[in-house]
Order: sequence, then C-alpha cells, then structure tokens
Amino acid sequence: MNTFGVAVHARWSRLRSWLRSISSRTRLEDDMEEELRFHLEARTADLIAEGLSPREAARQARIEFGGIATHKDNVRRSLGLRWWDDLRADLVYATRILRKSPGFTLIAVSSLALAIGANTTIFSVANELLYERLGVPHPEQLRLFMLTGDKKNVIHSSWGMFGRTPDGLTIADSFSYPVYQQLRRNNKALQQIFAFKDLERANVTINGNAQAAQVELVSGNFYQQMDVRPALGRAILPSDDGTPSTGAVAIISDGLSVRAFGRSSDAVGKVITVNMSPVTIIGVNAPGFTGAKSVQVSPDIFMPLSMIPLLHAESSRDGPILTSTRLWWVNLIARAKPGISDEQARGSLEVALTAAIRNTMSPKAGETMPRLELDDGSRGLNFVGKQFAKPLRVLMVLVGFVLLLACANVANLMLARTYTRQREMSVRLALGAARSRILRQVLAEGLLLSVIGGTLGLIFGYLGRTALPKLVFNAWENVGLNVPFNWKVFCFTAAITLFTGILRRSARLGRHAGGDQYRTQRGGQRNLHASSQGHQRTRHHRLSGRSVHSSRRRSGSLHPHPYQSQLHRSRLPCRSPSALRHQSAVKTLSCPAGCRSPRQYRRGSAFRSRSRERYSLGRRTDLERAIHREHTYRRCNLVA
Amino acid sequence: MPKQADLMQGTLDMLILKAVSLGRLHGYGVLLRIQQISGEQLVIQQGSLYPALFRLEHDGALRSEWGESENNRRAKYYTLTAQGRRMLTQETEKWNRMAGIIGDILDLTEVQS
Repeated sequence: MNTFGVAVHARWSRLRSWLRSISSRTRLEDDMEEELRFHLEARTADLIAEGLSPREAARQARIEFGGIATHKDNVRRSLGLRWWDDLRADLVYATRILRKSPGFTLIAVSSLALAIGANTTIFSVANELLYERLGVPHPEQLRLFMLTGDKKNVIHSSWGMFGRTPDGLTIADSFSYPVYQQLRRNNKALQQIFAFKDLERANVTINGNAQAAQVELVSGNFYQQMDVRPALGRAILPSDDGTPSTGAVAIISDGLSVRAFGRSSDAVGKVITVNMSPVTIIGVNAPGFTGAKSVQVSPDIFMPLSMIPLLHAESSRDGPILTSTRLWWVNLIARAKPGISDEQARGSLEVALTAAIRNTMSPKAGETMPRLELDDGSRGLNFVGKQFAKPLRVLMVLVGFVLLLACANVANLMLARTYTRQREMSVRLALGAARSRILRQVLAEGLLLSVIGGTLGLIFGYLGRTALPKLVFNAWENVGLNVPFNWKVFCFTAAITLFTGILRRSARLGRHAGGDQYRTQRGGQRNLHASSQGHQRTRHHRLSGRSVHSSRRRSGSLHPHPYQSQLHRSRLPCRSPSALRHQSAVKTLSCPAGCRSPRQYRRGSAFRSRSRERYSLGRRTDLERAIHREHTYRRCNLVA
Repeated sequence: MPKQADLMQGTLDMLILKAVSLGRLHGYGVLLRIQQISGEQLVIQQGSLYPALFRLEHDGALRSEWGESENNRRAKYYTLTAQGRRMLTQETEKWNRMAGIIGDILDLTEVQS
C-alpha cells in the first residue's frame, strides 16, 4: 500500500475510533484510569524491588509519571475528544444560562419562532402561486396564447377568462376551434400548437357512485407536446381526437385514481360515465402532472377535445361548438422553437390569426382585429396566480417587515445582554480564559437559542402551510391549493433571522469580551458612579464603597462574597485608580474559589493555577499578575 | 521550537511501534522495552507515553485488548496491526533517508572546514 492508502486507512480508523470513544465514554474513562493505575503500580513494585520503601516508591513513581490529569487530557486530545468535550460543556453551560433568564429566553425564542414560521408559510404559499412551474419537461418553453382587443373587437361571444389591461384593452385567453385549426396548420414559428379546455364541473359515475369531477379536454397532440406519459396505460393520441363526439377515452389523475380505485392498476380499462356518456379509462397520470390549468391542482379527468359536444350543452345561437366560428372558447399553448424570438413568432402568428379570422368570420365595417400576445405558459393558465399576484406581493412585503422586526428585536435583546454580561466576560478573561474560548462559549449560547427558535419556527411553518389554504377556502370546497412544505424557503428565513439576530450579536459579545478589559471594568464603575452620586461621601468613602458595590454587581451570577465586608472594614488605602481596579477585580476573582479567609484564598489561587495548567489557558495576563501582587500585599496587611 | 517538538513526537511514535512489533506489550512494558533496547540511554517522560499509545491506536496502527499481566493484574496489551507494520516500515525508511542526508551534510562540512 502506498502513502496515500495508509493515510486513507488511518483516517477511516480514526473516524471509527472517535465514534467508539463518543458512544462508550464512561468505559473509555474507566479503562484509561485503570491503565494509568496499572502503570503506577507496576512502577512502584519495580522501585520497591530496587530497595525503596513502599511509601517512597509510590511517591517516586508518581513524580516520574508526571501530572496525571495533564496526561489524561492529552490522551483525550489525541483521541480527538477535546472539541467534543468543550462543545458539550459549552452547551450545558448555555442551557443553564438560558434557564436562569426565562424571560429573555422566552421572548427571543418566540420572536424567532414566529418570524421564521410566518415567513416560511407566506413565502411558501407565494412561491407556490407565483413562481412554481408545471411538472413537465422544460416548462419554460411553453407560450400561452392571449388576445387583446379594444371595444370594437371582432369577437363577440367568448367562454373563458378575460380581464382588462392597464391601458383599457380587454384581454382574453380563448380562441374559436376553426381558428385554432387554421393557426395550427399555418404555424411555422412555434412547435405544434396544442389546445385544452377546462370544464368547471362534470358529473361522473365510477363503479355506480356518482360524484362531481373536474374535466380537462385536450387536443390529440397534448401529451406528445407536453412531453409527458401517463404512469399507467397510454396517453391520449391524435387518433383519439377525431370527428366530433368520438374518442370516448379518459386518463384519470393520480388523485382520482387514489380516491376511486385505491391506486389499483385495475382502473385502466374500466368504463365510467361522464355527463351520462360512457367513457373508457385508458391511463392514469403520474402524481406530479397537473395538466395545463394550474400548477397546484390537477383536473380529475383528461379527455379528447372531440368529446366536447357530449359534455357541453350546445347554444342555439353559436351552433355546434367544434365548428362554431362565433364562439371563442379553447385555450392554446405551444412550445417555443429554438432560435426564433418571441416577437418574431408573435408577428408571424398574428398574420396567420388575422387571415384565419377573415376566413372564418365576416368582420363588419369598423370592427378591429385582436392583437395576439404570447404569454409565459410555464405556469399554465394560472388563473389563481394571476388573481392573487398583487395581494400576495403586498403580503410578502408585510411579512418581510415582520422578519426585519424580529431580527431587530432579537438583535436588541442580544445587545442588551452583551452589556449585562460584560462583567462576566471580564471575570472569565481575568481568570485566564482565551479569547477564542469565550467566543466559542458565546456562540454556543447563540446556537442553542437558534436551534430552539428554529425548531419551533419549523413547526409553525409546517402547520401554517397546511392551515393557511384551509382558512382561505370554504369548508365545502375542494381546496384547490396544495402547498408543499418548502425547505428552501424555510432554510432561507431561518438563516437570515439566525444570522442577523443571534450569531452576529454573539460575535460582538465575544469581541467585546476579547477587547480591553480595563475599559470594561471602568465602564462598570462609571455606571456605579452615577448611581451613587446622591450620596455625599468623602472621596475615600466613595471610592471604597464604589468598588465593593461594583464587585458585587460584577460577580453577577456568582455568589455574593462574604470576604468583601471584611475588606471594606479594613479600609484599605486606595492609592490610585489602578489599585482600585485591581482590588475590585481581586474580590471578584476570589469568589469562584469560594475563599473566606486568606488561607482559603491561597487554596483558591492554587486551584486557579492548577486549572490554568490543566486547560492550557495560556499565559497570565498583566491584570492577573497585578491582582496577584495586590492580593499578596493585602493578605500581609490583613494578617498583620 | 515547534519543528523540534514535532520531530520528537514522531520519534516517540516510531519507537513505540518498534517496541510493540517485537511482541505484545502493555504500556509499562513498552517503556521498559524502549529503555532496555536503548541501553537506558533514552529518558522518556512516562506519562507522555499514553497519549502517544492512544493516538497510535486511534490511527489504527495498534490494537489493544485487556489481558492478565505477569503478576495477575488486569492490564491493557497492545499489538501491532498490519497498518502499524506498514507505518513502521515507512517511518523507518524516512528516518534512514533523513539520517543519511543529514549525516552526509555534516561530513561534508567537516571535510571543508
């Protein structure tokens, strides 16, 4: 095996070993303990054999071995456990801190959760309605045919959607069948034009049960041009779409196949009746395919357009629907041809359209020809989307503001915390903690907060996207809007909130902590100066009073210090501001060691230097050295 | 200074691998064997042996199992794995090459001066 092979092998076994250490940590610690004990005992035995007394031998063995705790730490480090232990300790500490201030935690977490939840919901719905595309290959190629015309438009009778453009023209989406046939014949600018029409509702009988269903009638080339094939059975072919009232075949949607047949493949070949006409099921669509009407919901039944005379009552004025030149009703759509611009295609097709209108209708004097528009067809007819586009955009801006507000809210909370916790940070620094270590601790806290807020936000968002469409529609309506949970949207909102709100603030807190500790201390004293201004004291009194007070505040979460009162009584001369600083820092420092007397302080100091060694917290800072000096000095004073 | 520390660490690993390659050993045994082979000339800080042993096991060069020691105590025994043997060969080659190069350089300097 070459060097590379060895390296890969080593990496693999490192990973395995790491996972083993993590999963059976207690056993690892016990084994390590026992292994080191065995070493010491074996060495002691050897030393006794060399003639030392048992007591002396044990001592000698321990000295030769060196610091057991340090070696154990090195073992843990060599197993790659150090960062894991640190992370765990950080998280445990963070949990404690957050539990200690439930108000802060509650507000921060709920702002995060609501912001993330609300935004995920609204953005998911908006994304679904405004941007989602049909489940067919290359939906971006699809072009929907639209017509705009003025008041003197040649078209008088239409069945379909129409509205007004901002400049007062009517816009409609329907064509007459003869015009469609001529356009399709004369089209050279786009790929084959195909047609569809959605019937609002049809009565369907399946296995003797009657129900209402939505039907989409499609031209024979619809499946071929959409480039989709049914999951079961065959597609509707041009041969099915023949002479009027023939082609009694249907493809059912995945939804209907589940509701009526339990998704059984027996559905293919079954005969159902649609508006009293018997129709044979020839296929079942794949779940993602929704036809050409909308992206969100699929019609239940797809049938050839040639069947329309049987499904739709003929009006006496317009004549048979498939040959009527008066009634404009069918929707047209086509894929763009590569290399031909939309404007070129539009121009060429408009010429064909005008010719077709002149061929099929006899325009009266003064009537105008409609103008052809090629609209984006990637979202199908997209009636709902077009209807809700404006309100949804407004809503999106609104929740965008909510997001901003939540970010600001959380950021403010964190900022306030930064100031209240500066004292804690300076104590930690004074104890010798490295700057990066504090930063990591603070980040862990932010991370914990983020995870809680994010999880709640995820739950809100998930529930919201199911609840929202149900709130908009009536209970008896088939909810036409199915919003899938959008992970991308969730990740986006979560990332934005968490990053701006928490992590940046945490970094700031960490940076503050890493900054000038003297300034921090002085800042604490300035505050106190303001609070004690009302008291008329001598300078000496005020100084010592201030320092005691400030150290008590600075201790924060730590215990109030019994040693302080003694110090206060002792009326130590406060010779200079720097001496004062040291004095107050000393008292703060004494707390974690829990010292009540000079002897206990000595113990505490030994504890600190031990822990500094143990956690390799780096060199003593100048402040610490000064504290030490000051303390020794005062201890002598007190003892004397 | 870090360069030198690295070198020392590398050497300790190599010595441990060599010691264990001669037969199954517990941690204290590794220490004794290294001292014995070196003719008591090498002083190894005893505690620092264990981080190195654990690291080598972590890397897959050693395998460990609990067994009975000479005086019937439970002790952790280390054996060399195939991976460890490859590592030892590689390290030995590297060491010899390095020693050769440095030796040559030092010889050259003496001749010129």
